[in-house]
Amino acid sequence: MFQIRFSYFQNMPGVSSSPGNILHAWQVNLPQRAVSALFMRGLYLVTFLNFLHLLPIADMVWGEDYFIILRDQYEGGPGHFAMLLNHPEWRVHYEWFLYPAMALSLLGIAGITNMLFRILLWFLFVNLHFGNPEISNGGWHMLHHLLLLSVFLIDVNPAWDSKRASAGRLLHNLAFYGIWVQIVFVYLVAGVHKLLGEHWLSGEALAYVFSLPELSRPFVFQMVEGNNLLLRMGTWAALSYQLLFPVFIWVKRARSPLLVAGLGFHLCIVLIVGVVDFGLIMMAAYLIFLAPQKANRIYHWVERMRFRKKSAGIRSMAGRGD
Amino acid sequence: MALQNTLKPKLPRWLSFTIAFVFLAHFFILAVYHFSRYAILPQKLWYYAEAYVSPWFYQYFVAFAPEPPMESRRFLYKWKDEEGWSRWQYPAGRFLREHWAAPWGPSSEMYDMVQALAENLYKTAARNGLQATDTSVRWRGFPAMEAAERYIAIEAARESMHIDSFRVVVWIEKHTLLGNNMYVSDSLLVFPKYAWRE
Repeated sequence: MFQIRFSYFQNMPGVSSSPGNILHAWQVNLPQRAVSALFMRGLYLVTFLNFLHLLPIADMVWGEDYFIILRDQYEGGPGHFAMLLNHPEWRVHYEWFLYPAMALSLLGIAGITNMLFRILLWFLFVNLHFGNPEISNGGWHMLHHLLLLSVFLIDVNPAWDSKRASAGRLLHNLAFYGIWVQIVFVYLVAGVHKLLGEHWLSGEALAYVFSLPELSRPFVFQMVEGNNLLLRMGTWAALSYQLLFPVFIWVKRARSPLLVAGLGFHLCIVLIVGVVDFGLIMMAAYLIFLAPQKANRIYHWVERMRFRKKSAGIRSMAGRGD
Repeated sequence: MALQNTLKPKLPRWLSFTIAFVFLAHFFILAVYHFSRYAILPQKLWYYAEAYVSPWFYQYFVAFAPEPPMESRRFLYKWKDEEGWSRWQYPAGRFLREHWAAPWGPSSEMYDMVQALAENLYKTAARNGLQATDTSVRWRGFPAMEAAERYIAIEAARESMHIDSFRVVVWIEKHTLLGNNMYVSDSLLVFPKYAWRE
């Protein structure tokens, strides 16, 4: 019988790590509620900002002023419902997709969400994503899947004791680690496929990236041109990070330094390469890796700030102290 | 914590295993999908996995791999009105400058959409083995040329232009690193002139 060690269970007495016992424990315990809550707020924030910054050009992106090629190869099948904005008669009403998606994201940022809202938001996002694949990048693909998996981050009160609560906790735990696996996929797929080529291993890849004006700020290539050592180190650092992340993210002691390095990596993508949405989405996704104790402190601080603002004066009437 | 320890799992074992299996199967198929695309796993598996993945679970994380981008294809166009032919217009250049000035704005996406015009024209020619200058080809029948025409119509409306005819070009810039130096070579795909359709 294979043994799985999950760090969240290291301190749990009497729980051995067989699959059956893990699934049983996942029906009873949800130590990462605060982590999931913070993660979802970060996710909805970047989703909302993603749509917000496209509002000035929404007519061209999703509406009738399009100049992309519309394709629906799923006509007649269930896939057709993911491609509605690839039909001109639906593009006229793109607001039916965009504004509800923005509203649901805003509600999610405020912590007002349930499974139905999350399913709806995912469905709207899928259509908006496929409604213009030309603006898509790794960030959009990540959002597509993080929004899907977050559907199952069902919040279950620790005191509830029913079949429904058990199912909710199990789904939450499965989706929680599913998000970890999804993020690992991003780096593993990108990193392994880079090994198939020549220029990442030779250290020349960044030289090509920075030489294209659309992929680096105008002064960057001038600064690094000819500096082979810097370009090679940068290329190998990027490649190493993508190959090491899938392994060391599961090691508790290595997690924090790895995530700090990742924040630096994605900040470079934002500031130097200029792919802002992808960088921000990945940094928001890192919230899923927060330690539960840290997440609990942050989450309760956030809730206390909200509570304080809302109930200033009411607290003293109710006689509640800090 | 003491309260949590008194709770007991309520789902039957078979149900909890089935739910877990569904999640595991989903990620297994995704893994097969990713690693069979470029034949790390047998490529025929990609077609089976694709049937499950697309469109609802579609994902693509192979940008900049296996090789970084080494070529840039740019969309240029010019139009003819009563004053004659205009200069070649490179609209993506404007959006690129705006993007670097304000990276959080929508210019990056405008750039992507305009660049896609060039990519699609290039791919249309390449996949069909066609010469851009071949006037016997009904380029106007291809979605890529229709998309280019739609863009020019948007620009014409914005600038209040009255176009008699137009022409598009894909400017290809290829980068090659030799030693310490990056060499750039240019080529053009020049498509035929077309009269403007109202």
